[in-house]
Amino acid sequence: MTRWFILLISFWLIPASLHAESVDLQEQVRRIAAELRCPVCQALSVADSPSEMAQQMRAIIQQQLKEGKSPDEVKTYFISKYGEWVMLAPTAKGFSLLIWILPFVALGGGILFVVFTVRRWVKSKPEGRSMEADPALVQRVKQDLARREDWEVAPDLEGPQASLLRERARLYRELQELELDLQAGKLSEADYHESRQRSEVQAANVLKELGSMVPAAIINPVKEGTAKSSQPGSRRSWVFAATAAFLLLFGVTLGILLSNSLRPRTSPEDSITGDFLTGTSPEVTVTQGGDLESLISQGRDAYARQDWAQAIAAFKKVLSINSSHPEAHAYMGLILAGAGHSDAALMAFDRALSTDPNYAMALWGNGMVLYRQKGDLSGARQKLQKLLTLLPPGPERESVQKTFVEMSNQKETQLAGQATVMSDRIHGTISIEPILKTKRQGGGILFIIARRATTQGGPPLAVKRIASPVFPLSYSLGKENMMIPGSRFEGKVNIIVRLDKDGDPLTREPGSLIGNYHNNPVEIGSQNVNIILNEEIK
Amino acid sequence: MPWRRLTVTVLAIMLLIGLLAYGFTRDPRYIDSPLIGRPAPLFTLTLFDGKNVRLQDLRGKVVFLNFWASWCPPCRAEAKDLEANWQSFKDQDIVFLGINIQDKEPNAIEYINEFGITFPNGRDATGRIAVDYGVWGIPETFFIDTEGRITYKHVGSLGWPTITAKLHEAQRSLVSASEGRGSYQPIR
Amino acid sequence: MTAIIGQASLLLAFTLALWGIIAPFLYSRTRNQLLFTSIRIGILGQFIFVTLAAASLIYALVTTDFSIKYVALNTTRGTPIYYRVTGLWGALEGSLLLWEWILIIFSALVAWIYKDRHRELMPWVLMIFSIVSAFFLAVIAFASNPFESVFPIPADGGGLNPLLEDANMLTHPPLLYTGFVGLTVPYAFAMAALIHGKLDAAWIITIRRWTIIAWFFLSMGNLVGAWWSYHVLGWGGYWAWDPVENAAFMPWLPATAFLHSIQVQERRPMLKVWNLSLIIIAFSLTIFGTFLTRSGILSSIHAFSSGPVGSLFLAFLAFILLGSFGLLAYRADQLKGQPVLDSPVSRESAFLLNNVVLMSALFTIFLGTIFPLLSEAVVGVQVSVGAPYFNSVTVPLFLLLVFLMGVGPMIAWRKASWDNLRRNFLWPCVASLMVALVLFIWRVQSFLPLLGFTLSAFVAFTILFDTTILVRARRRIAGEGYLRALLTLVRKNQRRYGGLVVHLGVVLIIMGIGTSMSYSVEREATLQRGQDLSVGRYRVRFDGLKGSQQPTHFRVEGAFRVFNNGHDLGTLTPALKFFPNQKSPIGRAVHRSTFSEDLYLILSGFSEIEQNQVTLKILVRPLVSWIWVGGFVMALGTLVAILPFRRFSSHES
Repeated sequence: MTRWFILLISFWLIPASLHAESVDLQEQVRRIAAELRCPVCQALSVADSPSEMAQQMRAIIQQQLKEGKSPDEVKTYFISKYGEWVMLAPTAKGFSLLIWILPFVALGGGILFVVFTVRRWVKSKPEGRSMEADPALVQRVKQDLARREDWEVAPDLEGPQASLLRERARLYRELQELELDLQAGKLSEADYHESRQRSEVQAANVLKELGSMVPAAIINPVKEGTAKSSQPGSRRSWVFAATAAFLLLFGVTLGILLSNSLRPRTSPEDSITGDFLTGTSPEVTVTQGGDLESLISQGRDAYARQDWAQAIAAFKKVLSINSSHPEAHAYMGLILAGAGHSDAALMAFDRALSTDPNYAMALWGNGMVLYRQKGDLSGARQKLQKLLTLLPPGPERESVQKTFVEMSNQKETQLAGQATVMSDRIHGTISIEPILKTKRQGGGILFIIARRATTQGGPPLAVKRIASPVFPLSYSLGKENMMIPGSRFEGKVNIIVRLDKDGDPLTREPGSLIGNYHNNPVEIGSQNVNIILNEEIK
Repeated sequence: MPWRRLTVTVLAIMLLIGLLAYGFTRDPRYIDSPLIGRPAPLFTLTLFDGKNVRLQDLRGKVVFLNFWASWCPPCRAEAKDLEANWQSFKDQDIVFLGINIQDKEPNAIEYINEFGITFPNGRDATGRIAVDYGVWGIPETFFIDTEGRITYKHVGSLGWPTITAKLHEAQRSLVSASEGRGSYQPIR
Repeated sequence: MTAIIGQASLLLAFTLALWGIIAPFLYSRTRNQLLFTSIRIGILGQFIFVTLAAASLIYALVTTDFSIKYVALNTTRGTPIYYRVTGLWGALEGSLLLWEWILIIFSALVAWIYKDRHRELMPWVLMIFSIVSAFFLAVIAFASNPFESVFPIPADGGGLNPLLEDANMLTHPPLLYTGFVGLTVPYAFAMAALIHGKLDAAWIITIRRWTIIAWFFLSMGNLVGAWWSYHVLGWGGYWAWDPVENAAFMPWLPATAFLHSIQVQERRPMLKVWNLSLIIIAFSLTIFGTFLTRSGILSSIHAFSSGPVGSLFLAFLAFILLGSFGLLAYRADQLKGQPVLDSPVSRESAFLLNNVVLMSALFTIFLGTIFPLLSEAVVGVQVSVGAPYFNSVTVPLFLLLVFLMGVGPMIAWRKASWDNLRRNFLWPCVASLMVALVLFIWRVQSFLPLLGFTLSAFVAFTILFDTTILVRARRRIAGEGYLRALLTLVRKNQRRYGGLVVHLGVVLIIMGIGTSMSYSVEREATLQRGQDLSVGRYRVRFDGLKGSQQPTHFRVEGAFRVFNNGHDLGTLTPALKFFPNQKSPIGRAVHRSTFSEDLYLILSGFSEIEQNQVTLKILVRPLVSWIWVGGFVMALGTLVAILPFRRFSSHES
């Protein structure tokens, strides 16, 4: 009855579950995309990949499906562009056919091989093994089994009896398993009795051999057993202890990690895992305030005394507590700058500024290093300008302004590493004064005009015209920009730039911006001819 | 000594090792292009100055098609060379065409201005042209002959000798046997 | 200073390893007891020196000693301490040192535990350990040295790869490496037995214990890797069939096959050559795996930056394969037993089938992994072999395996009676078909998932029925209560019940994988603030974007309020992390797991022109938690199988 039930259900369910379903466009796109390999993140499919290329490819798939192409046609299109590589599963053609059939060949072949081998092994069973055994020994076997469960022999036991003892252990184990299998209902009574009898006979024969070898070894099986079990027992207790210790340690570590990593949310923007697990700490770190303060003041004092080593030690400690402490970074930067490590100093100032972009000391230090040690006047100017906007009027502000003016009057030196110096061009950067930037409405035409220093009036030597400039703009003026071909592009020139609204170089309408190079005239071949558009035509 | 068994074992193992050693000779990220020797896919490109360019209109000229982006260092490294080559080749029925992909228009224009590029450039906003050409790294350059067939593809930045040589080959419609490689950046 | 200590320790350990290779040969000639002791001391010495080297690298990392190039590249001043420690295995050189360290810990453990036993084998066992150790030490000391100096000393380091900044970095690599290295122990014993020529079966028991430990760590390592991929990488999947992932999974298959076929060898003198082959294959696959990861011949997200190390590993792999299989082929005749089976219907046959299926799976995955190479070498066509292929070909194999898991434990050893068999299977069959019916009516209407569920239910029911019968039998015989009977049953048949619990765990995992693969729903949409996206019974509303500067990156978080049929489930905040030296942001997906399904939110992107406009991808994946629960059940089963309960039993009797 139940057998019919089984058959009925299976035959109904199997075909019922094999029908296909209809899908919508998004799902179709996703299915095709899941079969294509993303050329950017090559481990993912186009469906899973977050890259821009994958997004573009998905859009193309969608468009082609809308045009009415079939999924196969879409796939063929991609194969024609990227090759077979783009399919995540090789199409079953040509050599790639192997990859589809070999696994099943291997499985089928393996199963057949096992079937035939098992048959061979079963057939090779020698019939008519002696079922003779001393009944007393058979009785002994039964008694042994009833008395004790564990007959295991240590794997490295040596000696003439070793293999016999192992054989005995194996047969006893077999008998115990037979018992269990009977109880579990896996064996019929007949099979059980037959197998049991056979194993008992074999065990009895082993006992006979053992008896004939060294009688003493069998007389006191209990002692031998306990002697063997004490050694594995004591070793086992070590294993047990080691496991327990490991689990304890593991549990404790896990507990610490979890309790540190999960905390209740204090605000909607918080996340429960906080900073411990992900290594990102919230912007305001809670440190032991006392310690930090004392360390910082220690550092400051040491710096004032010029005790550099002490100062460094103190600030390093501060940084180990709070790795983004702007003051500590700024001081480190100053110390490094004083020692001549300008690159390291700049990095330290960057770190201070990344935490607090308006940190005055870092801005000042940064500016000074750039100016004095790097000669990067434009960078220095940037930093100092920002500083000026932050400082209230006072002696500090005045000193910064003085430095500023000093920088502007300086002759430009070519310290910053530049590319090849081409002696027949002028290179530089053009930027807009920040205040005027807001007034600019975008677009416009930028003219870079070079006039000979020696002559007045007349057409300019060279003009460069750039449409819709984006600032800061790097420019390069060369002989191709000359107004009159044939003249030579060399000597001293005055450089002016104009951001014109209407594009007509002859008119000067209000709203256009002008900038003069502050160090006119320049030699052709100069680098770093940096100009700021800082005048507006009224 | 079971010689036969030993020989079979050794042979099988050496075959496997040989296959794995072969792996060292190729770059697994590299995607071979099936387009070489085939007709170049047609497209219509809107240039930055507003004009439209159709590839089929350039039939009869050799086309140097370069895919680039402003954030890609190898593109920047080759930009000046490309411009210089353009200057020297532009009267020889050769057209240089640049296609900007995965980029923003202001950045692209700034890039053009920075290197003073004068050959026509346009932007492939949807990425359709890039996929049409099987682009996977930038810069990628395709050399198309006068019949509209792709004769050579180079992934990575190009130098003067390669450009000149391949342009001449394209003029004579010689299809290259293999693709070229330089230092490249995977696209985004 | 630290670098000097590290370098010196490595070189000293290397010389000791060389001695460990030579000494056993000398000992076998001269039988000098002093030589024997010196071999053990050699291992102990290697342990001390390698630990010293590893400790000095950890010290350098923790104190951010940027004079060492490895430290400068893998950590910064701002990195928290636990990530500095994980920097030990964050890059190529350090990971090799970790492998060597775990290897030498295992070697020292083996040398200590067996100090008075296996006297004939131990010199050779330790020699094998020394060979592998010498190779790794040579590679570390001469080819890719973590203690290389850098000058000038940078003020700050490069930092850990941002993708690796996660808690799982503390567990996944060590667990996985322990699994890999653990397989060296059975291999060493197997090779020692082959070299020594003493090939009777006793040492095979020792091998079994170590294999199960290595197998355990390998399983856990792979599962934690899947968890990491799911939890952190943000594409909603847990296994990508990436070549390196395959390489980590492949040794598990012959190890599992071995754990089954060894039970046949314990009862009958057969399958000896096969079992040895399984161990050799398992160990070779671990070397193959580490070769794949470091050679760069297949593209993978896990690959370390390749160097000269790849060809060294290939050479070592060739050496291992030739040496081991050569020796096995040479000694095979001595190993052949007289295999006799009583009946084709027996657990022996079931285990043989199990081996066939597992090794077919291994063959399939291996073929798929190297097929791109093969195709390019033979016909010059570049193909990719990715998830769609592996998913389609491995599914029938794993379903077959589930079926065997249900059938195998029900068949008796040696010879099973057909009638009893049919009777035993009847009720589980009926029960699982009823489950299938219920599922079909309710929701599961496609063939493969239905089959998967039916077979899984079948396995669970067979275990249940079998245990019930035995508990009842025990009650009848010994008069114990139900619980006590169950506990005694488990205690007396530890390995069996441990194995059955592991089977249950595997079944849970397979169900979790199968269902989440077939029934996941995915939706992507661009949302303005206040708009929502519905998937199934979930409605997700976009509440706004927030950007914040973190110490190592800039984080853009989207706040999404989740509603389930009207119930407010709170806010989830998937994010995009912008690291200064990465061109694309790294996504941080968020998921909300329950037993029945996971809601997975991925912030694909946000508009830079429009304020508060995002692209959100929602995945609803059913039964993913079952995979992790199944992992715990597997761990539990393994503990049941190996913890020493038996000690108590000898006191009782």
